[in-house]
Amino acid sequence: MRNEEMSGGSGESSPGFDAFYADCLWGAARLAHLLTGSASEAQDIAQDAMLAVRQRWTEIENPSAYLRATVVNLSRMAVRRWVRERRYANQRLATTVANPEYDETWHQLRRLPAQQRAVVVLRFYEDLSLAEIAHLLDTPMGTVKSTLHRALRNLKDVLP
Amino acid sequence: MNDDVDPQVAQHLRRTLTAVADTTPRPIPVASSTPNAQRRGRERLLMRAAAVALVVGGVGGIIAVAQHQGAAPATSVPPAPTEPGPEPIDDDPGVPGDEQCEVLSAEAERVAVATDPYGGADYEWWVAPTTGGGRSDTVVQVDAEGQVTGGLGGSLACTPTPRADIEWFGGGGQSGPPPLVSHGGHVSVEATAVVLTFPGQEPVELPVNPDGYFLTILPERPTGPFSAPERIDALGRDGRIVATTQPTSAGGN
Repeated sequence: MRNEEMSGGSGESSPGFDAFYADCLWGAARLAHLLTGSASEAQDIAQDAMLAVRQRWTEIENPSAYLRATVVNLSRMAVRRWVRERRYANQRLATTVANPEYDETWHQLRRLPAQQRAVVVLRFYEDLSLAEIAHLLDTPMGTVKSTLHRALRNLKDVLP
Repeated sequence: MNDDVDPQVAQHLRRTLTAVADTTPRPIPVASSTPNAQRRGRERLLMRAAAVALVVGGVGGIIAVAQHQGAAPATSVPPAPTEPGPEPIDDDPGVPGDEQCEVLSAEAERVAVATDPYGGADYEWWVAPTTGGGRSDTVVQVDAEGQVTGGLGGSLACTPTPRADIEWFGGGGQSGPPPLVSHGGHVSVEATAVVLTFPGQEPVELPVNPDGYFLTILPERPTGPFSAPERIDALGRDGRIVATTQPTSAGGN
């Protein structure tokens, strides 16, 4: 969730959870959509992540960062669950973007292994640094960098 | 930030991801005090809504079910190879009178497989019984490494639903280019193939598995998004038509 979506104008100093929830729910769903490829799964992930934030609302210093980390973790768990179970549950992964140029790129993005897609999303959608991504994914920065390069190599046919 | 990445590439990826994110439906806000309870309630509603015959579709795709009622007995089918199935959709036992049920994932069977005509992922159709005697249907996308990377949706019927002679579904919304549409279904009468006839197009003949299922992935028809065949014929061993149906679109996302 990018800052403007996370804060929604009220910022992280929002006095209560309700305002934070109203401001950031869609941003959480957008990030989950990109990480999982599933718009429908993203709805539940966003709600579950918000529940996690609410449970620790009085303890966490940076709700936006906590929410982002929770969405990333829940999305990774969802992808792993699909792999393990070899199924689905009413996923509607096939988002078609209006612009054909972007549609082709998204088509290839969805085919990336989950870790590569996560790095691309966090790097180019969330605008996180490699160090921030490494921290979020609990992975060495060198691994993040090589993962990003592999992802970009896999996407080269659809990139300018 | 990574200075090694071409700025044009970075910009293209940002725009793509933002465009996709913009398609994300806004979640329905729930009372912050009970988000989990609300979510479970929503799942229950979704499951109720899904308890209708065979319904499969992707984003933007039409969901269509065609049925042709007939008197012929259902074919006795051998079980398909099984693999460990999924966990139940929800651990909520429900309340008396509630239509909610659990999917008996350990009994899930893969009943049909189709391949992306452009050499992409395979698609697998899984069926599992439910605790209410009904059926759960799901079509998943599987990559070259056998990992599930997506799906074309699914349905859940908690209670038994009688099989029509020919059941058909069309699922759309696969991103292209060109867009792809799944066509699948089940034939209850003894048949070895089905012929899908599209308006103004060459008919498409598909084999029917021994247990009656068929599935294919086709480019979207130029006659319209996720266009349905105007006629489906099931062919017996001698090539004669043993059942026919004319699908009508029904439902939506």
